[in-house]
Parts: sequence; structure tokens; C-alpha cells
Amino acid sequence: MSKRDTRYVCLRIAGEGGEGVISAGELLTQVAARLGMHVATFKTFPSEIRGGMAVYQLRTGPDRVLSQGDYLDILVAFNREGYDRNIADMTSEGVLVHDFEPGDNLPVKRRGGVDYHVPMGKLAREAGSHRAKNMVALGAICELFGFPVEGLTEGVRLKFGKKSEKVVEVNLKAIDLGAEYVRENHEIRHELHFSEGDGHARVVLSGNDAVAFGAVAAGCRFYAGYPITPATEIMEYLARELPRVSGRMVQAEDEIASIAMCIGASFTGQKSMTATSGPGLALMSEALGLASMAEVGLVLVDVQRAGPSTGMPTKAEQGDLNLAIYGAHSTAHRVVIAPVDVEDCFYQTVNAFNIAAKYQIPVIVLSEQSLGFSKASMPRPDFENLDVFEEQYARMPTDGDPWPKVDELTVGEGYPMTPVFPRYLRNDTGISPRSIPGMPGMEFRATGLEHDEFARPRYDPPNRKAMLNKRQAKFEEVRREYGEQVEVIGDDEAEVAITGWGTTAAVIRHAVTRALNDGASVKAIFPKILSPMPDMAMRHHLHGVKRVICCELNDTGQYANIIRHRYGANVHAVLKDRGVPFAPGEITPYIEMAIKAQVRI
Amino acid sequence: MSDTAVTPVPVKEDTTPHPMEDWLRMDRIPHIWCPTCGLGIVVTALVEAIKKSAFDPDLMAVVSGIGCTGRVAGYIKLDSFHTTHGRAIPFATGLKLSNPKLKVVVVSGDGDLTGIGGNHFIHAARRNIDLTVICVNNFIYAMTGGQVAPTTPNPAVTSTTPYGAFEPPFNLANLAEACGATYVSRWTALHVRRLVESMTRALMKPGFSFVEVIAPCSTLYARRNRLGSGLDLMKFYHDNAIIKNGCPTPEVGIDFQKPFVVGDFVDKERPTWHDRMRAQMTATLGEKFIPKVGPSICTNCE
Repeated sequence: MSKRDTRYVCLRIAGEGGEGVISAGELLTQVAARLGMHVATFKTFPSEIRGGMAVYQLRTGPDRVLSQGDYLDILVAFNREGYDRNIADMTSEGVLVHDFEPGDNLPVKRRGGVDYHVPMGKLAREAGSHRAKNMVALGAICELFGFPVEGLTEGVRLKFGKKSEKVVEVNLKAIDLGAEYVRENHEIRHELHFSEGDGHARVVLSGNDAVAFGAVAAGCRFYAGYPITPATEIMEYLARELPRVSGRMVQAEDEIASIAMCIGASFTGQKSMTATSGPGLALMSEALGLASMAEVGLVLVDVQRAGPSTGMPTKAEQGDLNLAIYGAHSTAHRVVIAPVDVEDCFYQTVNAFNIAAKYQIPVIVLSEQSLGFSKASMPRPDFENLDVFEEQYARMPTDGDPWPKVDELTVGEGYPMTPVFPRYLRNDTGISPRSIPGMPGMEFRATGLEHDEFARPRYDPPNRKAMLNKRQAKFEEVRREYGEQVEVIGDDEAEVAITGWGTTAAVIRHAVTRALNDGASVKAIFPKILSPMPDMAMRHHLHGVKRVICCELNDTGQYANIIRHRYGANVHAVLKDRGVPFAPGEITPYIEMAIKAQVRI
Repeated sequence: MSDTAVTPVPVKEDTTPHPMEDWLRMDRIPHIWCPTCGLGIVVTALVEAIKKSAFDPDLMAVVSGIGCTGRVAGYIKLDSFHTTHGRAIPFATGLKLSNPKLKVVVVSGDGDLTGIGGNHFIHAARRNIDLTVICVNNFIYAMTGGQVAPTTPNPAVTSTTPYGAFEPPFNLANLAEACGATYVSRWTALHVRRLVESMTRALMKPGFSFVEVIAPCSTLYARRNRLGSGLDLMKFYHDNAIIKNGCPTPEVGIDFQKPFVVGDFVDKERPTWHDRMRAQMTATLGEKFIPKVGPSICTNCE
């Protein structure tokens, strides 16, 4: 196994609720991002949550943080319980910073590593408030691991400056005391060190924030939704932001109403969105069919959680892929894309709005609990150069420029040709000209019934076939546009390929990068779009591959089955369905085994 | 085209213009409704009401759900949306909120609006979204072959209550009022003049306005209950409808083949969703609140 990349540091703070664990973690994350470090956080909960245990974990390094890594490097335990419940996740060489006497009779003994005792509670009281315990810990972290203390003091001023000068003083003093205590009482006995930032300030967002932010940037001005963990924060963000940008948000009576309102809004030309989780997506399935049939674009975000039913609402799973792609009655085309990390949440949401507007089709963004809840740093988006598609509506014909011609089939026997707007005009791309209510002479009837090019209900077989083909053509057009968007890293000639989607794709990238550094012959294949699958490129990259590893967070291998049935690949599915994401170290052995042809296909 | 479900009827050469030619999608006529169905009357009454209300037809939209009444949206020559079963009101809500300049009318049946769509009905009334909802009540799920509806009087026979309906039906006028509708009325397909006037008032009324139209279904409701033809039901309305404007809505429940009350029941002022939203947002956000700018082809009206 390759040597651990010491430039990345994974730190966890653990303590009682109310001890400032979360605020300390968030402050550290904010400051790290502002200084230009790459940072990603993970809200994790020990298996049993008793007594309001609070845990905050962050991983930082010189480049984009792809996963939370395999081990904890640093544990800052505010108390014994924080130690007991988290020590098992730490490497044997890990560094422990704690606030209990080293001679305590610990139930879980460490076999190695370095301990530093910092009397956090005592020093906090010295600084002026027992609540500043977390700041003492941050001061100690700065001194121990080379985190820039100036950045932290500036962060404290920004965070508490509005409260009062006294609060700022107490907190700054606590930071000083923590740092001073370490300087005077401890000799540094470890090598871990925070990498320096590159000076480019980054913003810190959760996946849910990034989706909402991306929606506003893409021009979303209508949101309807119903509360559901872990997607609710998207609605909360937009409830704050939309009224300030002439957008409207409504909390609907249920998920069915949510998507129905969005379709209504899209019908008027408004870019609209709803967000939900698995159970909500199931309720929205019928209306998604209408959006496909009436060719109304909209964006539906599914922040997946562990199911079925209420399942484990705060735990991670990638279990809605089948529902998103196939959960339709009849042939209801929808586009499915899945962001891999927080930054991707922003750009994929923008992308989703563009596809929805351009192709008049519903787009599902498959986010995940572990993305939605976790914060990470990302460069401030460049709004000037953001690619945002603006729809051009159809125009009334003039004398020299009549309505586009429909073909003889549409005119049909018994269907008089009328000079009305051909809303569902068939053409090469399948994308028809659209009008919105309020355009004189261009009114049409959007309907869930099968219809002809004039939007008139029609049940005859030739028309049915022609209209099905038209909608399929549109879907194929999406496939053409995104058909080459398959990212491949590693050895192009490798006999072993590994693939995955969503957050698992980022973890795979982490594992594969390590394997490649060790000289392994492997390639990773990541489709940028899950429906329509970029078949041409996938076939090309899977050509000559003997064994394919598919990793995903569900118990049935939904993605693995797609790879199997679409490309006839020899797939070994690596499945995990325990409510927590993969660690790269869980994937590495499968890469090694596949190279040695030891996996069972 | 021998196996088509709906065989198109060839259009006869007839030079006489239809009196409502400008308002109907003439290429869709003749309609699919049965002889002596009340829906044709409702469409005519709605068109007359739209004419009287003097709204710009280019800024009107008709939304309907599924069922016999759901087909209304298809015949009126306005921007229209024939939605999924029960969801006409949330679609209409999305329309209205995204483009407040539009006058949005929902036309649907009793089963669609208060059975599968009951949740949306009560919440739209509570929010007081500026919609006009016209509910054509024929006491039965007609399009699917005559099943019991949330409005079926006891003990009417339907295909799913072969021994007579026993679940108590909704009193729709009372339901609408209780949920916050600003205008509530009930007429029958017989009271055409009063129905047009009532629909006009409903269209002009800001907020959630509700018109219930009792309409005959000869094919299913009348036949199964041996009530004769649609014409016999019209005669029944003539003899048994008691006009009582302002009647308290708890007293207007409908019993099977008993005299029933029609009239304009509720007409009150209540701030609409937009009024309340604007007031609240302006109070808390001040100048940061940006009114809705509709699509460029429509001018802002919020």
C-alpha cells in the first residue's frame, strides 16, 4: 500500500452539545477556506447518540478534497466521552488533543500515537467564560499543527464582532491561552501539519446551499416544495433569497402539489425547481410523466437518503437511481445527473436548468445526504462567464414567414388544417417552438393526453408513433450533446476499470489516484450524465476491459446493473449500504484483487 | 385508422358560423360529451361570463384536471392546461404565482377537485390564491364509468355502491367557505342566466372564488338510479331547486332527489395570497423585496 499522503489532514472535534464543537469546526472551516485551503467537512454521528454528543470533522489539503480519507489523523476530545466514542476511527499514529488527565483509566487504550493534554475548561474560565473552551482548543490546534493563528483571530472578529467587543476579547484571549499552554508545556512530537493555503479565498457551502445558490444563478425564480430531510435546507435558502430577486417560493401542501406548481410555473416560462428526497420523488413520479408528455422543463433535486420509507433520514445512500431513471409509467423521458461534490452541486444545478430550458424536459439532480449536509470550500463562481441558457420563444408568423409546415400525417383525415400555432412541431431535433400564456394568437393547450403537432388530443397509431419518436429524438439530442462527457483517468490500456457515480465517484478518484501512484494498471470511468447514458463513449472506454468494478451505496447494485445490461461488461459490484459513505481504503483492495483477477464476476 | 379509440367525425361543410367561433377550438368540435350532458351549458356560460367580465382573453388561462369536466380546457380557445388527475389547482397556483398578470380559471369535476384533489382545494382556499374554481358536480365519477364520488348523495346507486351509497357526501359550498373562499355560489345547468352572472362575479372577485354547478349526467347517474334522461333531471332541478341567496352554507347539503338550495352564498373581502405576501415582505425586507416582473411579453402587475 502506498504511503499516506501527509499533505492532507483529517481532524475531528468531539464533545458534548453546547461545548461549541460545531461552531469551532465551522470557524476553522471558514478560516481555512478564506486562506485558500481546500477543505471538506463531514457531519458524522457515532452509532449511538446519547447526551447530545456533537462531532465535527474536516479534511483539508493542497488540492480538491475528494473524500474524508481512510483515517482520522487528529482527534480533539473535549471530554472523556468524546474520546471513547471516536478513538476507534483514528490511526494508530494519530494525534490526540484532550482535556482529561492522562492517567485516567481509559476503557479504550491506544496502541501508539501522540497525546497532548490541554486543560481547555480551566483555561477558558481564565479567559473569562467557560463557554470559550472551544476557542482554547482552536488556539492549541494552531500552535500544534501550524494553522495560521492570524487568520483565526480575524475569523473571530468577523464572527463575534457584531455581538460585542467583550465576546471578541474573551475568545481571542482563549485562543492565546490555548496556544501559550502548548508552547510552554509541550514539545511537538508529531509530523502532521496543515498545508498552507494558496491565498485564493474560497467560499464555504453545503451541498444543499450550493444547489440553491446554483439555482438562483441559473435563473430559477420559482420554487415549490415540501419539507423532507435531508433536502429542506434548499427550500429554506430559497425562501430567504427568492423574494430579493423577484422570485417566488411557496411551501406546498405535499410533494404532488410541489411539482404540479413547478410545472404550472414552467408553463408560464419561469425557470422553476422543487427539491425532495426519495419518498417525495416517488410521489412526484406521476407529474413527472406529465412534464415529459407536455414537454415542460423543470428541475427536480432528490437529496437521497437511506430508505425505503422513512428509513434512515439522516444517513447516506445512493438508492434512488432506479426510481430516477426508470420510475415512470410508460415512456417518460427525464434527464438524470448526479453531482460528485459540493462544487459540482453548484455547476450541475446550473447545468440542469440549461438542459431543462433547452430541451423542454424534466431534469433530476441526484444529490445525497452526505453532500447536502456537509460543507466544503469551493472557488467563488465566476458569474460573468457562467453558461446560462435563455429560451427564445416562438414568434407570430408574418406574411413572408408563415407557421412552420407540419406534415401530412398531422393534418390527417378528419382533422382540418387550422392556422394555429404548431406547439409540438416535429423537426430533426425534436425541440419544438414554444409560446407562453399571454402571447396573442399563439395560445395552445398543454395536455397529458397524446397529441399531435397542434397539441390536439389524438389516439391514432401513426400519430402516436410519430410523437413518441419526436420525444425520443429530443432525448437522443441530449445524449448527443453529453455523449462525450465521460471522464477517464488512469491507464487507457488497462484491463481493469472502475466506475461509480455521485459522491462515490469522488472517493473512487481518490482510491484510483493512489493506486496509479503505486504503478497499478487501472482506469476510472465517470459518466457525467446518468440518463441518457453516454453509450458511445462508455462502449469505447469499456472496450478491451476485462473486469469492471462498480462501487455504489446501495444493496442491489442499481448502477452496476445498468453497466451490465447496457454494455455487457463483466461487472463486480462493490456495494455498501450502512448509511455511511465509502472510504477510499475500502475500494483499494478491490482494485488490487481485480488486477490479480481475483474478484468474482 | 380502424382501431382508433376516438373516431374523428368528418367536419361537414357548413357556411353558418358558430356563434362562439372566436372562443372555441372549432377543430375540436363536435365535443366528446354525451347528449343531454350539462357540460356544454357550463362552457357556454363560462364564455359568456368571460365576455362580460371584460378580461383580456390573451391574459387568461384555463386549467382543468381529468374527467369529463377535465375536457373543458381543450375546447376553449385560451391558453389552457389539461393536467393530471386532481392537480388542476396546484398547476393553476404555479401559473398565477409565476405570472400574476394572468387571470386563471380552474374548471374541473367534483371527483377531481374534492376527491383526489381535496388537499389542494382546501389549501388553495386557505392561501386565498387568486383563482376562480368552477366545479361541475354531477355526483359521480363519470369518465371512468360511474363510481361513487365524494359528493354522491345517499343512497344513490353507483357501480361501486351497488347497494346504495352510505358514506356522507361533502357539502362543497360549506367546505369552500370553511377553508376561506371569498366567493361561494351554487347553481344548476338549468339556471343559465343566473349562472353566467354568478361566474362573472366569481371572475371579478379577488381571491379564491368558487362556483359549484349541479349538472346532469344522464348516461351514468340518471340511468343507474332510474331517474330518466338528462332532460328529466333538468325538470327535477326546475321543480326542486330553491333559490336562497345568502343562505348559510351549513344548511345547503344535498340529499338524494330532495329539494336543494341554490344561490350566491358567500361574498366577502379577504386579502389574497399576493396581498399578504407583498405586505409581509415589504414590512420585513423593505426595498430589498423585488416585485415580480412577469415575462417580457406581459407587464408587471404584482
